[in-house]
Amino acid sequence: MNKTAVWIIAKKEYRDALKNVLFIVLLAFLLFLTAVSLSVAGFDFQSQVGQYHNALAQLQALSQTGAVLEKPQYFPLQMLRGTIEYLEIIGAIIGLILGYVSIAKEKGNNTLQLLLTRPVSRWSFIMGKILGNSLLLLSMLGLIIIFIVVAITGIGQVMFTHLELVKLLLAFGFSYIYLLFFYCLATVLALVFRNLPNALIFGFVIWLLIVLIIPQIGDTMDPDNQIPGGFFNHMHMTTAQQRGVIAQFKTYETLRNVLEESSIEKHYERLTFAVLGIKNIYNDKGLSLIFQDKWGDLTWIGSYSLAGILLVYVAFNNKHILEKSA
Amino acid sequence: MADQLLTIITNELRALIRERTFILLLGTFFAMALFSSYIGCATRNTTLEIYHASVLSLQQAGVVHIPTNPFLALPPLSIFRNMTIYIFLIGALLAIVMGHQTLIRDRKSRVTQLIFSKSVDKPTFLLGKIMGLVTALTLIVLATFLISLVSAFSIPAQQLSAVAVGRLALFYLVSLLYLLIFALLGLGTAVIFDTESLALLVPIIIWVGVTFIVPELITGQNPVALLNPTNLASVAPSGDFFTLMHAVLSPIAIEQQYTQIAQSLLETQAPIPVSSIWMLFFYFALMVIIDCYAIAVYQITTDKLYE
Repeated sequence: MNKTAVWIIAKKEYRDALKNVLFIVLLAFLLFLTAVSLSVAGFDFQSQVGQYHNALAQLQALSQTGAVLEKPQYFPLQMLRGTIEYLEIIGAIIGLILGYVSIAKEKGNNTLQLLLTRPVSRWSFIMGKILGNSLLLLSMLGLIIIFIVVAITGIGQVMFTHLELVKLLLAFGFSYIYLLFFYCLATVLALVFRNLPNALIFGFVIWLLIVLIIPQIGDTMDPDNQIPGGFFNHMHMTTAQQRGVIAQFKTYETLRNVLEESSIEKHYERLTFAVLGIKNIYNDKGLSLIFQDKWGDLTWIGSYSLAGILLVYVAFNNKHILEKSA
Repeated sequence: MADQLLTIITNELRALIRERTFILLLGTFFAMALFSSYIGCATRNTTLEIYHASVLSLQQAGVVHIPTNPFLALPPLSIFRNMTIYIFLIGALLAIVMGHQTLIRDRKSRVTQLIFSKSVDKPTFLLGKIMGLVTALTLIVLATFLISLVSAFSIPAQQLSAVAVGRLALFYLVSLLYLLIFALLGLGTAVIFDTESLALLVPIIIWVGVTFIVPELITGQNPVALLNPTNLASVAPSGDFFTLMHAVLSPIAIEQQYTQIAQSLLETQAPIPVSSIWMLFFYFALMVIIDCYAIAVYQITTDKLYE
């Protein structure tokens, strides 16, 4: 592998993407969504605090203490639920677009064929593309992190602890691995399909299935999600009683779990929600405990992305590309 | 003119059938329509069994006041409630792709120049394209309705009354209207933009905005939570911010209008929110106007299309 060639291709990828109006629009859109999700989370928390104070005032008016009420607790990383979900949905689209554009521009300008006539190996070309777009994805995620830190510390006047900052960086590191999978997916499709827009549509269909449909089926099959407020809450059952009942429906639960686990999105969500403490049982917990539980999800998203890179290698077949371009 | 219209419509249907990506999306949509009722029925049966197991567990724990079964109140059509989600996810994307391809196909092959060199004028051409989309989507929605009916009747112990079938038919009619809005959006952007990918991505971004961002701003629910029909049913704005957003954004929240109609038809016996149906008609008309304007200013001779 020629390191100079890799670096030249990577730099070109980075520069080209920064000139791409579509990428800039999508990046601005994602930043806007981050702002929306942070604002919504902030207003939602404010609303919970308001409801708590109203309930407390009513109890005090009746000469009672507010001991029965649970005071809303502010955890800055829990405010990022919407941001992570937008990364799951829109971030994946950006990954798809980057992968698509990365190959489409070469095919459109016939530079892919030209490159194949030069002494650039398959790995150098692929690694250059992946490195350039990885730097781009990491820059994008870095920008979002800066935006979040500024919004929460500057506007929200809440300081992050060191552990929270490490967790934030880790969560966005996992986001990169997740987005890399979609980048590779679109690259493979753009390489394989003769008609480029068809590759894009096909990519969107896969995105729809992986990101939205499969997790949605698993979620709607959850017995606790069948009525507003939760079925087990309605039944006033303890966690132990819930587990006892669910254990009797092992096949159903296994099927539901298999559906959810077949999607990279669910693994990414479980991992980031645990690291950021959005899932309450992991909130304020140490990283060792979180990784003890979630190493499986990390292995899954890592494997998906690695498989994506290997697929790009397989799809980048000189003979096939020349045949298709003809 | 009638002959020209018929030719354009027939050509649209033929061209669509030849599109592999369209067939793929359509296949996914039909598969989800088929699975939707089975998933709904399997989930309902299991949750009923879970309720009985929960009652036993509570009785063994000495609980005297057992809560009532919350699933008994659900109407039979609630097994189709996932269809609402599939319509605004897969269906809307399918409609965008159909609208997009209906014009991009002609621009790409420079058929538009050829057509307009004949005696076909722009209004006839656009009307033919829109009628082609209406016909294709009507056939798709009709087939989905039949799939739902057949799957519902093939499930043991699943009885749908004539009224329920009528409500289901009405749900699919409203869904057709919703899908047409997105198809016309895809058609409009396919006329306006010079880049094929951009013409496809812009309506997709609008779709993301309508499906995820606007509902989040109105309800405070996170994007993924909005894909659960139960969450859709339970959301209600609380606090000044959400009340304000609800007031400001409700007119453009077409996904919310659609889900409200769908919930009233499938999950409750409540009257149908007529204002929401009018809202969908308004957006349909708006899209027709936008498409008319786009085709009116479309420069046939200088048209260039990039990938």
